[in-house]
Amino acid sequence: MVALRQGLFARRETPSQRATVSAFKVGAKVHKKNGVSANLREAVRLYKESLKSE
Amino acid sequence: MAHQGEVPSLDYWPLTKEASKASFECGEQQIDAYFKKDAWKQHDRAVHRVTCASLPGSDTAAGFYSLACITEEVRKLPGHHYAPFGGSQLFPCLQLAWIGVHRPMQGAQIGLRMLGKVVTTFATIGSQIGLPHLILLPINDDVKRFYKKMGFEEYDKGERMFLPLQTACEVVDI
Repeated sequence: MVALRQGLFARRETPSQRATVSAFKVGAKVHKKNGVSANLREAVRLYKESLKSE
Repeated sequence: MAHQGEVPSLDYWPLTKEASKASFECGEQQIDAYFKKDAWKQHDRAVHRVTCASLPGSDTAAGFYSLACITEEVRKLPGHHYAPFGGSQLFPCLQLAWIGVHRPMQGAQIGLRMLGKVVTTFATIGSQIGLPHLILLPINDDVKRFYKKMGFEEYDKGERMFLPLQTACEVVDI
């Protein structure tokens, strides 16, 4: 979908594999540093709980 | 009057033209203006996908959020080591464009539940198609502090924030 929005001559504007891999590596470092916050766990727990009560 | 107590469950549905015409006010001018003027337009054009949350049986949005699939520049991320030689610096990501709760419904953790749904959606889709980050642009410092407590990391000189897919997958248990 992202690629389809680009024009035929806008190759530099499309995502690249190298940039995506690099972004994943940054994410891995940040995740290792920060872990999962208790607040985020609570948000997901509340969402899942509200599904169970339906 | 604020809604008192927890809401037992919420229905989630894609924004409709009718629902977009309903009164919605969360107190943040930018978010209210978006819902009133742009939400349906962007949803209808598939630029954003807008999801509404309502009390069971209600056809009025108690809250909404909009998501967009966009590209972001990797050089803006902190500590990246990618030095392209004229190649693209862009990677795909999911953007939480807007999220808001109707003022009378605030205080019932609807926003928190919607954020839980956004993170769950991101973990599910991101792990299947390869989206490194959920990103957002905080509209003020209070919002920035809220998402920092949620585990979002600042980038682009503090203008934007991201949540890594790894974090979303761990919290959702995927």
